[in-house]
Amino acid sequence: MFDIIFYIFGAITVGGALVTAFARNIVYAAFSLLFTFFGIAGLYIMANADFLAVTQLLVYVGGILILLIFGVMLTSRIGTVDIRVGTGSRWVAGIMALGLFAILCAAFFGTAATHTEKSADGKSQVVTSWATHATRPWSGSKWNQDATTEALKPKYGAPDEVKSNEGSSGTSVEIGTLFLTDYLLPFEVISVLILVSLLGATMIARKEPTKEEEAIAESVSV
Amino acid sequence: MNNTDFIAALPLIILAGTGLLILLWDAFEKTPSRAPLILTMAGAIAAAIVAGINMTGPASVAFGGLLYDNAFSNFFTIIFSAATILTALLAERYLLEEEVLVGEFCALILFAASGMVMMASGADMLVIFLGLETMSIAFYVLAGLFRTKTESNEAALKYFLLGAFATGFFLYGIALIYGSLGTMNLVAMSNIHSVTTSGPMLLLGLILLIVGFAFKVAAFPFHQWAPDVYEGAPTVVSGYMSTAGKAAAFSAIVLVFSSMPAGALAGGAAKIQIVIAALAACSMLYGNIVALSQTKIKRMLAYSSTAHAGYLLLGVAALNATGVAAIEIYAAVYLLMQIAAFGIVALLEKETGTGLNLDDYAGLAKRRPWAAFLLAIIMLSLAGIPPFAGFFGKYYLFLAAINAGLTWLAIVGVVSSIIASYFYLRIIVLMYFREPLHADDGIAVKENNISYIAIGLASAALVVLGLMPGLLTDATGYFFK
Amino acid sequence: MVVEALIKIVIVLLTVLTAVSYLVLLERWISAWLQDRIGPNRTGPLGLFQPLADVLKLLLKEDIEPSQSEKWIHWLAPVISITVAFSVLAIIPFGSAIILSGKSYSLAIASNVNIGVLYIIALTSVGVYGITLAGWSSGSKYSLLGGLRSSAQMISYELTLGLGLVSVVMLCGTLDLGGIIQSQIAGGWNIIRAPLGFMLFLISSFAETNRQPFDLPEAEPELVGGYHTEYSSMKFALFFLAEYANMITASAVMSVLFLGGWHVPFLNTLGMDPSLLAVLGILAFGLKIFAFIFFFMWVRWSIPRFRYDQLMNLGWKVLLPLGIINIVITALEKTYLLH
Repeated sequence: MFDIIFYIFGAITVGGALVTAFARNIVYAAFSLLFTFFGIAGLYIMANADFLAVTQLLVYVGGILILLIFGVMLTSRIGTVDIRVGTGSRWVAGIMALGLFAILCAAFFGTAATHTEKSADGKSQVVTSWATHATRPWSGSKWNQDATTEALKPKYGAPDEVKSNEGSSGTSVEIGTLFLTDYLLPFEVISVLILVSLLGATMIARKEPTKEEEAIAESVSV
Repeated sequence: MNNTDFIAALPLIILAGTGLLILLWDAFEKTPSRAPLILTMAGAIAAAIVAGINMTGPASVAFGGLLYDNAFSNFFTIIFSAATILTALLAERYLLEEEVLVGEFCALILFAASGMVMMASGADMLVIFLGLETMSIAFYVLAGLFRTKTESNEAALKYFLLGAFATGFFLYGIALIYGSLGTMNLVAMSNIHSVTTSGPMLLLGLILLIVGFAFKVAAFPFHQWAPDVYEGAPTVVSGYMSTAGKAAAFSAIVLVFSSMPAGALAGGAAKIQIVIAALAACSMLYGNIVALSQTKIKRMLAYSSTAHAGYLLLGVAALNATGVAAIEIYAAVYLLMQIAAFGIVALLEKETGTGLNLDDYAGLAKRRPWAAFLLAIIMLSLAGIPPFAGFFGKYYLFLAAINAGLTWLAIVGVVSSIIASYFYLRIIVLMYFREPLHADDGIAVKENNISYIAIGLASAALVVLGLMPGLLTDATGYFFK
Repeated sequence: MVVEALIKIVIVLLTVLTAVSYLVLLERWISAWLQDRIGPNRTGPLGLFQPLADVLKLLLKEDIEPSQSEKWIHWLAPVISITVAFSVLAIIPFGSAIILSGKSYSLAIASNVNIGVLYIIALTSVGVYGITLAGWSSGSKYSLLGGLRSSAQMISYELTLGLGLVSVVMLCGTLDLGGIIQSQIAGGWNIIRAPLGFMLFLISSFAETNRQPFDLPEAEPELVGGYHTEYSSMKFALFFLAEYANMITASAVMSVLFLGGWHVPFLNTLGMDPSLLAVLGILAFGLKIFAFIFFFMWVRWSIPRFRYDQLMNLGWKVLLPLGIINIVITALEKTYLLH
């Protein structure tokens, strides 16, 4: 069952991406991205990353893609423009893509999923890298082992409702706590980043006031 | 967050905070004035002072392993602050004359500086990436500051598209590295012992990372955007981008590469070194040779900046203690030279955007003796002629390469420097030994003391550092011990 | 598990579909009442069969496909609208858990969704697509303008909606709708704890459902029928359904978030049988939803439509700053008042 659903989501993701890449009409290309984003959200849910899945929908579907479609809609006659490139370029692109795919495959399959680590008693021990290493960032570092486990305990005491729900596995509480404890710096830095983007967007997009408008503005301010 | 965290992040907080302050101030102030520029300089000076104090303290990792506070990070913080101060000084005339948004400009260079500080002191790839993005986005906008000029728009668009592409490479690289090592934290990474089998993926991740960085520093195969962007962007912005931005990218690349776990790459380390060495050699040769044929000064400086990225890559390829220190020294020296060079270009540039051809500099010594004199110092230093600071910067880089067994690369570097000296010296010849082409409609400059002060300061620093290179090596002495 | 969920889905769908068809009738009655008319009273006793007649009429009408339309998207748009409208219902707890023959059944299709609140926002943002694509794919200026207006409006008010939600999440400390109700049972309804948040959420809900005074996307005097000008027959009916279903879900969400869901104050102190309590809870929830729907309709027939610039000014210059202030207020309240 799990496998079947996984493949369904996978097919939606890849299918959407294929249409995006090969559609003649840019509107269809943009629109089929919607399916890709949905498929990815589904895959996230299957990986137990519920918060990430919803955020993916919110940001990509609710924000980025709608702006894209907006742009497409506001461009007149864009539906009739054939956006595909010439056959020659398509061959080159295809070969490049296949080459990249081959390199990535080689890298992934050439990389064993296990490696040796010294366990506490000094013996070597084979561990599966994706599973153990990836679950806790910085598990290898000595000064932070306590910090991570400490950080997972909410400092200000989780409300009772949260505790009553402990049976189900959710990531939002953990993510929220980490944002305000261990990852406080990146969390704050992101706000600077977003501010810069906002500032930049308004600077680029804002209307240059004409001389008349400037005169009016001045007369009003005086 | 406790006290030490706060102190470690203080330069960052000061820079970003000043930016916020300027934005707020700007919202309530209608008439353009110098206040934002003064605030910018005050903020940058404060950040530099704090970084200087931090530098003398013990090295530490703040925020539970997210932010370095050591000699390396603070050295770069000081460099970035210096670049910000110089840019603010140079921008004064330029901005008020071109009637662009002073407040926004100042806020953006401060935010860019805070991004750079993050890149130089991030102990986690997450922080480095965020820093890179903060810096890059600010630069994209700054490049398009002159919205009514087609070139400026073109520069912004090109820079944005290629930069976003490079970011993709960078991010994919981080993802692969995370996949193979299980962490993005540099401290944790360097503590991983005996990772034996994550070879190919880690290697691919690092190569993608290098591609991303090479885009940002405009190293050889990824440099195509640089001439157009530096030419189209406002000149002071070009100066800022091509120096502080590059220094930041190099600080980040050094941080990442020096934290790779020793056993993780197995035979891969040698491959990576060859890749970087090849990038360095190609950048040096290509940048300098193409710069020979340029007729516009901004394009010439752009190509020469590709060559300088090559010199700096030489230090990365060596990746030993000398190499790291040499990168620090050369980043600082290059920053002074290049910002000052672009500063003079900005000073001589006409409002219509002309006055940027090399021919326009003919006979400059007679019309503007001071500008010609300062530019001569800068050009000599860029060419790497002793006793100016540029010479010692290059000397340490070549020394690092030889120490690392890359003698051939050092030879390539020397050869390309000789090629480069041709076009640097040509400008001096033009200025001093040629008659002006256009009788009096050559370059008309409004006297501007502030710009002269900035350029003069930078040039004086080049001379002083050239005569007493110990000043810089002491500052980076942390790595020699 | 699967069977249980399927049964719940069928029950909810049937209930909502029936409710929707009668809501149309209700709306006509209310409008008639407010305008001092009689309203539909011919089809069946009191006009109660009117919805049936409406459905039959819509089903039997010709499905007109405009020649300039993008066929696929034109067909898909109403489907998206209706799907999104119903999907939100999946996580609404309609009552406290019922215990039948020793087994506990929760009254939500998917209970204990940890990210319930985020799920609602995410789906709301997907809802924009139905209208936007409908407007674009029709190949008509009126539709396109309607679609554009709606996207701009919904994107703008989503922010306020989210900011209103933040105060709820802050007070309750959970994103799970069941948890939010529990928290309100323990600490009082959120409409009292976060009145400003409620106001913001209510206003943005009007905008998100495209109801008057925010119904610019389909403003008849300017845009004929707005985004569904070119729709007819069952496809039109789907949009119609979606609009009313959206109203129901918005009301249900507001009841859960701010009015304690199925909770009736002081009822549990009376020492009633748990099963009876549960049934009363469901009824109470229904009543709250009905109250909101009535309010929706009341407003529609009382207040004139905004002008476009007024709408944007309200969203960005008034509601958004208020939403941010509200977060600060809620934080202060949580730190100093509720401890």
